Amino acid sequence: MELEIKNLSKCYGKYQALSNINIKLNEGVYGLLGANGAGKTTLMNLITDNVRRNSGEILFDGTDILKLGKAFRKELGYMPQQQGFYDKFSSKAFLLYMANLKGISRKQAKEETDRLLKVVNLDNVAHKKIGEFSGGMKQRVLLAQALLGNPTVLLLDEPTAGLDPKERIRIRNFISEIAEDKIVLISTHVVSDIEFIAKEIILLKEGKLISHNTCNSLTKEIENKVFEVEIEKEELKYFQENYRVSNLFHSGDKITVRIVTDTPPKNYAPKPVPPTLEDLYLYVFEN
Amino acid sequence: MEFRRVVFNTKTLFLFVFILVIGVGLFINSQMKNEEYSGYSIAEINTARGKFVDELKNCRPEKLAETAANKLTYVTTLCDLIDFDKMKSDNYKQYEELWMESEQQLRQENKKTANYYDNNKKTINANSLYVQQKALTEILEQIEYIDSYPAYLESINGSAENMNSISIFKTENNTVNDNIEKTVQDYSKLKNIKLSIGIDEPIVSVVNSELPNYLLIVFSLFLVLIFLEERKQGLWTLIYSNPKGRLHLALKRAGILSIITAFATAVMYICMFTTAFAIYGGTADLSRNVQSIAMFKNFVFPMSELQFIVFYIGVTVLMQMALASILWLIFAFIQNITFAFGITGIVFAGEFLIYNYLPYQNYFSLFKCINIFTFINPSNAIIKYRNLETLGFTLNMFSLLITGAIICIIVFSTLAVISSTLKRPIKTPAKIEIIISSLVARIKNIYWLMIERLTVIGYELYKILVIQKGFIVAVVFLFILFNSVNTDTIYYGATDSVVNSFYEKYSGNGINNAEVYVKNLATEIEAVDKEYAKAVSDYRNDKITGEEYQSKEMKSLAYDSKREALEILEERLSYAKENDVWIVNPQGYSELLGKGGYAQQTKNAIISIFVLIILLSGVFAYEKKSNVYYTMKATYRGRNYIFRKKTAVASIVAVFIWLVTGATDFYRVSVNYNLENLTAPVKSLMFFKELPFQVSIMTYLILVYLIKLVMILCVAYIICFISTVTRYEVCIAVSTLVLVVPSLLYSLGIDIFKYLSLSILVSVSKLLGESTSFVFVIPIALVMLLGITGLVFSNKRWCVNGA
Repeated sequence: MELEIKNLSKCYGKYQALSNINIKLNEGVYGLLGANGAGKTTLMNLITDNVRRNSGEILFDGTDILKLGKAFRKELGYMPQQQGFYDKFSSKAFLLYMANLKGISRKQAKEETDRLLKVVNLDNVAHKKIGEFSGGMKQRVLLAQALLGNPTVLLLDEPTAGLDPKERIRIRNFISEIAEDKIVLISTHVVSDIEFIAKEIILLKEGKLISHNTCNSLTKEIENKVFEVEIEKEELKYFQENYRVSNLFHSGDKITVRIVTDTPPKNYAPKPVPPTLEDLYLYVFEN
Repeated sequence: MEFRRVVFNTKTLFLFVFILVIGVGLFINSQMKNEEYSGYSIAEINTARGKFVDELKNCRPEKLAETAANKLTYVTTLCDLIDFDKMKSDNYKQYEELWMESEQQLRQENKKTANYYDNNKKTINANSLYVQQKALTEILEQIEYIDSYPAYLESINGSAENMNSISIFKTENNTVNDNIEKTVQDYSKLKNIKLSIGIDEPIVSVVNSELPNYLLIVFSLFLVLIFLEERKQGLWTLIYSNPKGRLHLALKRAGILSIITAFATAVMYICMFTTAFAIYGGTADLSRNVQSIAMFKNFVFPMSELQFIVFYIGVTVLMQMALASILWLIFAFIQNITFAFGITGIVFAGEFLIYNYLPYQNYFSLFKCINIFTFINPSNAIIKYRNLETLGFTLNMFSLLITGAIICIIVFSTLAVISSTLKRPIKTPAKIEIIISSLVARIKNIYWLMIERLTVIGYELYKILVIQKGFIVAVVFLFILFNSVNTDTIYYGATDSVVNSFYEKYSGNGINNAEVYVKNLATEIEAVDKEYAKAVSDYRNDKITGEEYQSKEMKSLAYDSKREALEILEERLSYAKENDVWIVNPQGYSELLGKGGYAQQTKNAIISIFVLIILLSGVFAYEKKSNVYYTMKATYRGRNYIFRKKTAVASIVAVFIWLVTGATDFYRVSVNYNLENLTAPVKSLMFFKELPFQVSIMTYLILVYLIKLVMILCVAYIICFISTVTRYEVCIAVSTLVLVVPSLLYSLGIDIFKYLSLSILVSVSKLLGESTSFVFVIPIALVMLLGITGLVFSNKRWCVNGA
């Protein structure tokens, strides 16, 4: 199974949202990382054919998705970033409605709905209106609808937004379990969501593909650029203004800052440390 | 900022303009209806009345009545002479037998007028004379009222004195005695006022108009709901936690509600009065005392018309502010908006019962006076003088109303402010609420189990009717439709009874028996006429007594209805013979398919289109509004399949509207008429004689209703198209502008909008019924084309790859 994106571009008027994107996706989890306005949602909208592309192709198993039409959409599970549901529907009614739109038979829809509500921990509020849910609960409803029909291509835009750490871990683990025979593309700001489960990380910046590789390979690129430095409290502001500070923690009177930089401060005896994906994110996206 | 948020809000501005247009538009429509009903053109009456009022104003007061009466006699004489001439030309023999003597007597008594008439017959405008006669009759009534007014005031004083002379009324601390004294005191203010003739209609028509007050309540409710927007959008906790988010905000809102309500009310009534004066004239009378208008004879505050207008607007403003403060209190106090609506309904229902059924003599009549419905319609309290003996006191109803309104404004606004300040966004449920909640949860479970069994079409209907509250619109629509049906028994005049009896016996194919009947009727009438003519001659020659003559005269007069019936039947029979058609009673069919039903069907068509707009604007637009659009379109069936289902639902709604309006039409007609001879040729109905085709009445009925169905479906598809390209609210606005407003304007008399009026096609009876060729096919085909195009473009818009 392969989803190939070839020379994909999209502009809105003069604004170039995506420029010449080329990626190949197979089974597994892919993390889509980028700042706001990088083009992540546009890419998702192009794959779901919710927006017309300007140029390029999106091929599923060698055939353009436009030619496949609803045959491709049958394989698709999509969770958009913007929470969209009928707030006067109950969660179960909404899932049954979406199941119907996905062409799932009534019997199967009932079984899947009950199962997925359990998976996302909403089985005890199945008959409560979605409008009365908390933000995290709404998010879980949307995730459940994306999983209906056991799609082979799963597009999740900010799937863990609004979830508490416990739920976040559960959802992450669940995605990891089911991703064996699926192409899962997760767009997120929360690096920890994908750091441990993503096969590859795709970095998008200002509509362009910066890099895509495994997490280890990407973080290796900034191997000698991440340091921990012990500073005085009064110096914190200076470091925040002049370096990318990815973390800081207090130790007694001093503060240890974790910085990502090409030019470490020599006067402070910077200690090189193994880079993480978060460090990479800062390095790529923060000036 | 709050003022800006509430006032300079597209919805607020749109609604304000909308209610203004509806209020003034319906006011104009009702005045035009009165004109239709009276049979006289308002413009002509105004001109005639204005002319006479100007002439009579220069008269000395003691000569006014005599001068007006003389003018009326003059005009009436001319009108009578015209009528006599018409009778001569219609049936000279009958005129000679029945009316000649009366004319001779009239000419004898009014020689000058008769001479003038004879010399100017050809140039006299009969219609103008009838208008002048009506105007002068009304002016004379006015003069009689004005002349009798001092005596009326005296009579009030006199009755008070009479009652006071009876000892039981003269005891101290007696409320009846207080009532009498207060009445005398109040009316004494009117002792020396001068009344004058003029044009009463502008003020009378506005004061009698209740609808604007209901529209203003809707506007106030809307403002209150804007205050509560923060609850729906989850901002309440945020706003409440701010330093100025409680008392400060509540006080601002109290001010905003008062100012905007006052402004809207004042503008509405200024527009109403301006419109009334534009229709009827009468601006020259603004300085006369308002008691010159008979309706205000018991209005005990001496003031000019202009002062009264300002006064009336002021009173209405106060009433609307009181209503707005009541609404705000209910919604501020009750957390759940749906529940608040329910409580509002209960409060209004309770107040309605008190208003209608509590007698004024009751000890608690105070609550009839200080009542929501009195606030809505304060006119009664203004024009009727009444003292209430309530709770042990004698209070004037009007003063009570004003005081009550002020107290309501202060008390309810204060309570609303306190409520808004103290009410926390997060409610801690009480024990009873927990019990009720668990019961409700069980009911909800059953409810959702039922909903989950719906098919896709079921879900789409659920979205329209339940989620978008379409069922309220549907219920209101049904209510309006069935309210328009007049189920009162029609009492037929003597002529109609004869004609109906004829149809009962002789309608159908074959006219021989009918001819015999008509011939016999003619013979019968001729015999009576001969009998009367002989009686006239015998009486002149003293061969019979006055009593005998009168008895013959009465008998002849009794046959007037048969004479009229004979004329009608002869015409119908001759038509049936010449055109080889059946004899069919046209009454019911005229109401269903002919002129009798046009107005009602056009009104129903406009309402149907508007209801369709409200119900269907969300068919596609709602998916974008709820942000489900992209998710839906990314699914297997989220394009063509769901498009077909949504279109099917739009069609179901359109068919429902078609069925209900059709059923109403049939019910309205069948309540009072029989629809017989359905197999007769449709041209058996005289009003269809110019139809370019010949089919049976049944076929014609089916054709009309089929075309109505197709038209309403096309309208539905046009709305669907607009729904795919715009937002929900914009869809309503654009659809209303394009599909309803031209029809409304055309119905208000602006003929140029005939070509853009969809109501003509949706009602179709007039278009088809008055056609003399197949040209009617063109507009029908055009609308069908628009409907199909709408469907095609909606499909393209919804299903095309990419958005």
